[in-house]
Amino acid sequence: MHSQIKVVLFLLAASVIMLVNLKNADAIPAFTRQHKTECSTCHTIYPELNEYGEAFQKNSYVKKAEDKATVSDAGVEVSGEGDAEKLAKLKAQAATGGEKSKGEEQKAKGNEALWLAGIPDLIPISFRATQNIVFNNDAADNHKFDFATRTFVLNGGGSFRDMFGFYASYILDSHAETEAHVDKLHELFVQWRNAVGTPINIKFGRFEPKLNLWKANNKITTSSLLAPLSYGVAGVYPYRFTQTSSQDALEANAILWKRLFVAGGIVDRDGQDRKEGYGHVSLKIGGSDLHGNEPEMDLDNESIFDYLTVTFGGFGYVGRNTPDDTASAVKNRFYRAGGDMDLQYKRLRIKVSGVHGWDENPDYSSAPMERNSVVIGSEAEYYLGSPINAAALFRYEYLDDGLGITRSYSPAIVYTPLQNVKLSLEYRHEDAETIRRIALMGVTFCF
Amino acid sequence: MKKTFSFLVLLCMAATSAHAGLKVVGKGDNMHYDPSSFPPAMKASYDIMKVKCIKCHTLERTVVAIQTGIAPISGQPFDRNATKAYGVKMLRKPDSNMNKKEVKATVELMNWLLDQANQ
Repeated sequence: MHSQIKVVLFLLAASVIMLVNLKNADAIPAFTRQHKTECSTCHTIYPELNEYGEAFQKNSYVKKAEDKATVSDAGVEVSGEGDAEKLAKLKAQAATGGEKSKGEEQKAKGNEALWLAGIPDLIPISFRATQNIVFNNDAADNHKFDFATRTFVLNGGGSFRDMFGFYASYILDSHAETEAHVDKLHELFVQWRNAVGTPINIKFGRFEPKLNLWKANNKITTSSLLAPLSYGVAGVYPYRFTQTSSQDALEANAILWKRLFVAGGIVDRDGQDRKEGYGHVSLKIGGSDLHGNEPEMDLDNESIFDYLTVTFGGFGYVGRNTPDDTASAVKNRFYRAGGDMDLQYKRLRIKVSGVHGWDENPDYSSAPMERNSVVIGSEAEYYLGSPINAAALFRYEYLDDGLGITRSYSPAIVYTPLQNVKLSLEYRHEDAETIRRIALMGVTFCF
Repeated sequence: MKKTFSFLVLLCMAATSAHAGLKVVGKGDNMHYDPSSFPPAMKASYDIMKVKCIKCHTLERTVVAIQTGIAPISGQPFDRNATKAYGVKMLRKPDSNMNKKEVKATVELMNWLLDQANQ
């Protein structure tokens, strides 16, 4: 076994050495194409979001819209010498008001029909693929080395004339497909921005209800995510509740006073005949505000607060499980209540999440037995940064599901030779009644 | 007195025209400023800019923003407020490898370049 792990480590080390000298290049998924900006504008290490990515997401995939540049038509002159062709273009651009929003650009280019219809100029789609090698010492079928764990996902997203944001995620292929009947349509929603002139956004469709600070894919690791986001107590897929599972829902959310985010919604969950409800509130202290505006800073004096950003979040969810479908008389009422913290200081990022759960009858028994659960997850990431775009992570998790306690320890290293290509090596040590060890080497890329 | 005043006005005009017109060289991704006419302090700042800024983006992006007064990605005005905001943004970016002193020098350079481009 040790020799096998050594082989995996050797392969990763060899990959890193081969790729370490490659230069960075622009990534090209949908948002990069639309806004002509690189992945690192919104991501630390793809797909984890930085604060500008968070702001972009919260603003329905519309970049900061206020204070658009306006240049008067008369007397505009761009000085300079050298690239005459480029500067001539710049002069023409400045004379017509400079860079325009997508909608204005379409109109100016003569694509008025597209502009009137609100249809994006580019088809806003991209693809994400993940291919892993998993080593599981306790694999049920004794298939310890599995090269076939992969996902291939179609993503789409953008906005319609800055009035509606939209996002879609469709799983084209997954290694789990035959086993778990993966819901291929992971997300498909539209969000009406600032509905009827209010700060309230209305989100409708299939999405992850806003509970935690982070969505399931907002992480630097390839496979695992913080335990509070993924744990479940009762039922089986797709009736099993987790905090990040996609649901058919209607949500209202808003950014208030630039740093407070509130959300609440109702869920029509798979297999349930009653609606469920949830609420979320989060506050960001330090750093850019939730619209992506930079904080004031004194460039002459150093202060710890120049680099410190802390976001606190809290949520509650009330719902009901049945073992299979709505016809069943046996049910399990439940709630979840929890809190998160996301702290960033220079290259260090710390995430902490905790949740308390209560389930009335998680075993669907004729003699119901309540169960309380407590799950805590924490992780620290450190970015090495340029010239080696890599990060190291250590995660500790505590899971008490009412039946037993599991502690897990997960170190990981991720490396991005290009902004759209990520190599990761993850290890997970689970300490429960039996000890489980899983190692994963993965490559994720998007295009 | 009148002659002296006129002379000073002419001197100021001459000084202004000497600085007007930043020399942009190179095309596309290789576009950058020719710093040969920069004052020594700005030359030093330009040395920082051409090493640090190009780790994440080309200097073309900076040149375009300064020459047009409009940030090419966001479409927002690129003025003195914007230069400081971008400086702060880069300072706080985990992998920028820039300290406050370098950011300040770069912001001052961009402000000076904006002044020159507007003349």
